[in-house]
Amino acid sequence: MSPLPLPRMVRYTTRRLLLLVPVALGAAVITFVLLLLLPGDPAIALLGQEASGPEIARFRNLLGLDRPVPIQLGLYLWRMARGDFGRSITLDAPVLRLILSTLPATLELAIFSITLAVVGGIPLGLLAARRRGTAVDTTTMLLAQLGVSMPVFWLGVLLILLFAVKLNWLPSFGRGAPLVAALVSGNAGLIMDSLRHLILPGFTLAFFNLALLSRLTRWALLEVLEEDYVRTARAKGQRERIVLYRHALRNALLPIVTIVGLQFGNALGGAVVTETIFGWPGMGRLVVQAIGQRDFPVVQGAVLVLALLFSLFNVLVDLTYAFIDPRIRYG
Amino acid sequence: MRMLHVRLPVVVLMLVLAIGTTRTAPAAPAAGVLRIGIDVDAGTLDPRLANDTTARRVIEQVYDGLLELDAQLRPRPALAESWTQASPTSWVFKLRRNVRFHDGTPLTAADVVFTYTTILDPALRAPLRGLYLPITRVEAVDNETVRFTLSAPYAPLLKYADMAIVSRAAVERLGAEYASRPVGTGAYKFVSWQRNSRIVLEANPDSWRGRPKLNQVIFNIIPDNTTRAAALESGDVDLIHSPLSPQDVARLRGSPRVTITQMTGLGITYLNMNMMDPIVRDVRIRRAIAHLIPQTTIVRQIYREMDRPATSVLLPAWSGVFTDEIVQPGHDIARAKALLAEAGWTDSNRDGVLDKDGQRLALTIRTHSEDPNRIQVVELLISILRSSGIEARAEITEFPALVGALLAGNYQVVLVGWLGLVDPDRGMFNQFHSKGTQNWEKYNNPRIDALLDEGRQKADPTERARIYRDVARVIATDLPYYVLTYQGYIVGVNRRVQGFVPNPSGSFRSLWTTSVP
Repeated sequence: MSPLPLPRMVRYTTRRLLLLVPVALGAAVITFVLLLLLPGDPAIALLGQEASGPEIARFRNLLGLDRPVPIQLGLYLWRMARGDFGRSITLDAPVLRLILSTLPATLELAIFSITLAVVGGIPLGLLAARRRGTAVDTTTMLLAQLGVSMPVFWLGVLLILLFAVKLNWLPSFGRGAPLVAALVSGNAGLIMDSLRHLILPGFTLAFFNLALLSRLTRWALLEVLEEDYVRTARAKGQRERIVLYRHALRNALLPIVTIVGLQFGNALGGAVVTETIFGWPGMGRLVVQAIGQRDFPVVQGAVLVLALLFSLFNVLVDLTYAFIDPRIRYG
Repeated sequence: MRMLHVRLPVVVLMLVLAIGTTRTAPAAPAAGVLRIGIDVDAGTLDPRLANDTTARRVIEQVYDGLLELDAQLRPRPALAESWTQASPTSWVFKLRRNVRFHDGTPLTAADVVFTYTTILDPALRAPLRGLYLPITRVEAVDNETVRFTLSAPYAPLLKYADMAIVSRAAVERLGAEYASRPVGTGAYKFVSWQRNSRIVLEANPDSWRGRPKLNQVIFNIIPDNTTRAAALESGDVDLIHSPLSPQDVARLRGSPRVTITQMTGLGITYLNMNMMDPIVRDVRIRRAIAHLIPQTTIVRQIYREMDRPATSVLLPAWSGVFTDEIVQPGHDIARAKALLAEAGWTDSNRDGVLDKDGQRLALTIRTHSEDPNRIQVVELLISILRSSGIEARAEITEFPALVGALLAGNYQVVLVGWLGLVDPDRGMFNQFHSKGTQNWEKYNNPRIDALLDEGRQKADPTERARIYRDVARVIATDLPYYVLTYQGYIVGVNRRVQGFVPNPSGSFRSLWTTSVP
């Protein structure tokens, strides 16, 4: 295979990274508009039932919510451009600090769950494709069907009741030591603590993706295994392992990689149910709580960060295509 | 050689099992450490700004007020060792000596003055400022004496004097950071706060109460009610309290490791009826609605007897005031139908919906989406109202949107609640006085105004009891509120924990005598 044309890839990557600017702008404006459309405002959310008309009016004035909408939008975009995410209305803390304190937990859970999904889903799909039409195939696909049908909250609670309450093997809630720090330290106790807290929420979040990936892998492989070049490879006496991994799987990877990219994005911002059930201190919960409490600065800041992260990850996914498929060249 | 697609998942599964089975015994409380499971993270730990239950639970440990309320809601000395009423509009509090904040600075009258003065300052946006408006001046007589001057006699003052006293020096030094680095005089000192995860406190050995028996108190934020109950059951936490799901409470009662205590709390769940609405303003409609509500069934089937059926706006916790002889309209479908007919609503066109002068009897009941029990209650009420010929519909929105609707008067009937009603004044003045700041239903009754004004000013408990019973009697007839339940308060504790005394207000004050051997 010819080496990747680096200058072209650098140009492509730079262009994609520059595109993050309009992505950020678009995310910021859309979030701002959507929040304005929500009934209820931060003053009411903060003061709650103790709110009175004059108190709310005073509070809205202090927050600048009584200014014309274009001015509010302009000020908001100007602050964002300077990296000033403002202060949380309900949590009385800088938004950036809140995001930075919760983002590592979300990244940790997202990466762990995607890893589980990939490590479990792709081999299962491979197995089902290899044993197509057998009891192994049927069982695997039944499990996959279960995975895509099972509600996350139900699975999570079930796992807690079984593994934490009945068996007492794993903790029922919370995050342990940060995994990266634990691995860097090499402290076995910390690593175990981190993993033990990660297993249940990680598996809960991963199960749907694992099921989906197994079905997708099976389908993609079956398509590829019918191709002429696979038949030729077998006819030439290639070992089945080589046929499967070098010829078939590699060509089936493109749609799989795409789905993994989308699943990671979902895990980043959509893990709120898992985070709530397991008391995982991630950004998903932070954002949803902020929406419920009309904490505009937190929602705006968090959505912007998540949009940028998701876009960055998609750039990585696109670059991966070029490694997988030599026919794909960017420039 | 086995394929990777077989080997890899097997290896992963074995790893998971290895990790999992390293813990084979139920997690026991570590000696001297109390782990609490709580449902929401605190918004702020500045007591003047706190407006959620977790913040109040933490603040109770880190701070003290001039007074504190016991389990019977009676004020008892805290930072103030004594107090006198110098005149109907003047109270003098004598501070305890040699009390220090956690940073070593001494507590003085200036800190008390600073606390209350800033609460009363509109610029601070203190949520409970309204409770302290009758205070016109707070001054330091000397280093250990504080005088409160009132605009008029204010009987609930002592109940509200449990407001935590902040350190003026720390507030001025830390500024906005004070909200997340509290400095108080309490039995426990603040150690750390990982947002949405846990708040850690440690014992204050120099507390004026004496050294607490616990070394550490950890508040773990576990939003899901079932997970919190499971955490208590598995031994991952030692103490949890309401809100809890009825199904989980039933399961916890059967656990040998756990003690469940249930009592009636200081909250109510009620229907707020908008007196400005053209349909609901008719008292016959409000009484008909009340007669249609199967209160006992709701408490039994939806709340699983965790709450108590309410009789009036008087709470059982208001001892000396509460009486169950004042009763709202009870479940009586025939009476409800008669009232609707009396009000002129008939099914003139036989379409199953009552009408009058060409208008259909349409009713919308609103509640908030965060409480599944309230949604179930509303759904039940809708079906009952529909079967009685009322075109009823439900509107479920998030809490801020619901409060917005209440403030704007944009509703007919709302199912919502109140918490922390430590005094009849707290539960009635702002709700029913024509000038009350939470009189969303716009109830206007001069007799009630006069009674509520009088209740604020009378110090004699017998007089106050008579006044508030008179108010409750009128409310039970006029029905701006139909009180559905007195909210229950449930505490679950690991049996190894000793000395914890539940308080119907939800207070954790007894933590300073609690121990985990």
